[in-house]
Amino acid sequence: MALRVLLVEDDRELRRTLRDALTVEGYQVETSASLADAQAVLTHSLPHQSLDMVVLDLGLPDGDGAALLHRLRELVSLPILIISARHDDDQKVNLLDAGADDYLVKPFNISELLARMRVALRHRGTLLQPALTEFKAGRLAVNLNKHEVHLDHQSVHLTPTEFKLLARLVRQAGRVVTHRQLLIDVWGIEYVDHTHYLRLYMAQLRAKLEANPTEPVLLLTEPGVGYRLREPD
Amino acid sequence: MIWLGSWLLLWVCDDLLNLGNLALLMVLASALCGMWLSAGASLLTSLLSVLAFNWFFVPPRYTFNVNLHQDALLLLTMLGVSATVSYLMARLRAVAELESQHAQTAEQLHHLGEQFREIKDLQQQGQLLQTVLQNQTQTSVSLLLLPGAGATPDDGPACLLGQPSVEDTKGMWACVHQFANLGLGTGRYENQRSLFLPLRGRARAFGAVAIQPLPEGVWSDAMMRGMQQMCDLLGLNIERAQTLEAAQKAKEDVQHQRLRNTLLTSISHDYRTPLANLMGAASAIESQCARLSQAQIMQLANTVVTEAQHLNRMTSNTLQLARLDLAQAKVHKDWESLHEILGSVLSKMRGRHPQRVIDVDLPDSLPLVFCDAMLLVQLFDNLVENAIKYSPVNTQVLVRAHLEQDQIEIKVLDQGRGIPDTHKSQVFKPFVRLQNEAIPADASDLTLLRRGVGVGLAVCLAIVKVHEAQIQLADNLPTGLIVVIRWPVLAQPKLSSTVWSE
Repeated sequence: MALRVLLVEDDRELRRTLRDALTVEGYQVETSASLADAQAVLTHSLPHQSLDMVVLDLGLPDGDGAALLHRLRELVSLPILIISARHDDDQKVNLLDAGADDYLVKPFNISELLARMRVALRHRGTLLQPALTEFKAGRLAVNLNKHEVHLDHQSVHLTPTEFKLLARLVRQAGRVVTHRQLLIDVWGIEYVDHTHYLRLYMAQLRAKLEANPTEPVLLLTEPGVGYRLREPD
Repeated sequence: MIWLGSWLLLWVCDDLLNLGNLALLMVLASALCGMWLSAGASLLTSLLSVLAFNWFFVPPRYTFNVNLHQDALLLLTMLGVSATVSYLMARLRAVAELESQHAQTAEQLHHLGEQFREIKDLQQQGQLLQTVLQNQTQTSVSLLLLPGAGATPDDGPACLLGQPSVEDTKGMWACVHQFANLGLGTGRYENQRSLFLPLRGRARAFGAVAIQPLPEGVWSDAMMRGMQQMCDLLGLNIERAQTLEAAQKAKEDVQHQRLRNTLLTSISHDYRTPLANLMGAASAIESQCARLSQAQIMQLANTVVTEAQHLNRMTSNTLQLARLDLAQAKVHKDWESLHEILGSVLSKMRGRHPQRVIDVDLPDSLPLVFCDAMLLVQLFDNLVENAIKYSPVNTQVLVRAHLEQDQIEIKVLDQGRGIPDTHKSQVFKPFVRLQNEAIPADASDLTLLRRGVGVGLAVCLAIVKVHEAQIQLADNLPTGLIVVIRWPVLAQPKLSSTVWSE
């Protein structure tokens, strides 16, 4: 069965372009041009499970899309992808912290959007299944239960903090995890401003896991926002 | 007391001195009296004492008769001198009192002026004036403040302090318009019960006060003058604040004007070219789709994407430049790793220009830098993009960094044609590009050059400036350009020992 996507975007041209592109990829697309419109679609498509994803523009004629994000997050664990013309990192980080699955700044490439959608959808799948405990990408293999990390089938020794940091990224592999989320989950809420801890530990982790730590292929940097572990194979 | 003393003295000296000398003692006593008593009282006492002197001392004694004409003249002179002294003393006292009143008013004004300086809020300044005037007059005082530009109810918000009656409010407006004091005791609108004083600036009134009448009637000139001075102090104060505000606004206007010019130049010079290319490619697909080969359509679509990316890049550069140009630009600084920033810029570049060789030479570890990550990304993105754009496809672009004392020196090197020394400082100005004749180039290079430097380096300079870093251009040998950035290294943040000990 085709996956159903709700596309909330007020610009007619972009809405049509995206709808066509998504339809070509095999998605079943519902579109709405305003908050009220989107709200109506969401209420009438009960149970919510019948929708698989929301692609949400922020600047809508009848309000801020962020309002819908907050309302949706209280109700369902639907993947939500934000698309916005606002190039404000603070807001980007806030929305990610508020539960958006990902964030794309306009203008963006369709292939970029499709890739992000695939990741968000895959995570939704894993939410229903037992939590991901094994991760494999390229040369790296991680087993969270056994606390084991292998690089090219060789065991790698990580300090407890390094392992916690890696494990946190593994749980959301493919998705960006904000600095704030990482600092809170790995070090604790009182370390939320200590971004320099992240820099140092990430450098150590890369030194152990990446062939070229300056240009990582596994532990990717999202400048000003956070880090992203490469999608598993 | 004085009279008692002098009479005693007179009795004692009665037999020793003649009448003339005794009379002089009397004059002295009456002059001394004049120093303390009011003019009328001292005159009265003088008169009484002259009569008494006549009674007791002037022969025939114990009558008011005067024997000799000389004695009569003496008595009259005595009376005259006493009277003059009393009058002069009284006048002196009045002047002294006025003087002290002036001094007090001056002191009050000075104090008020200082308080005005400390309080920035106009309404609070008005309240202060109200309180001071109320304390001084012991009647109720209301204020009309006109912080806006004009002097009519429509020109900006007026602010009323106290509870003026409708009559008083009207009076205050009239006072502002006439730019003069009105009401009781001023000679204008004497039928009004209250006194109205304008808050005068140099050319117009910035409000007025209405002072309820005194129970005992009319204001003294001195008091009125004193109160007017206080009102003027506030008026001038408001005027000064307005002038400052206007100057600030003018400065902002200039800034906005500059911004607008920047944007206009940008649109007219740099946006039309990519827009034309976009339009051409897109309309070709639209109108000739059926007749074009798959490969041709791909080619056109590629042009559309490239030009759109170019436009996007130029837009974000122009916006960033405009944003950083504003004095209060918001910059989010945090501890960042140059490895991470350069790494993410390079991976983007390799994706965008897979055919180019981009080498990196970084030491294993560098101190963290305190900066805005997105700005730093934009900085290196522009520099590397320029290096790629202005050098032949088969040449290397190199990014290199090393620590030098308290600075990190970051260099971006290319092997293009470089920039002649005469133009090195020019290219940091927005929308300046190298003139075509400055660099002989073949046709394909011309199109590249036409794209120009635009805002790229201007943004780089602005970004470097907000981080107190430096940017310079140098020549690469044998050919090419080196962009050198010197980034300050601050004291590194501490790690708590418990975290680091593992």
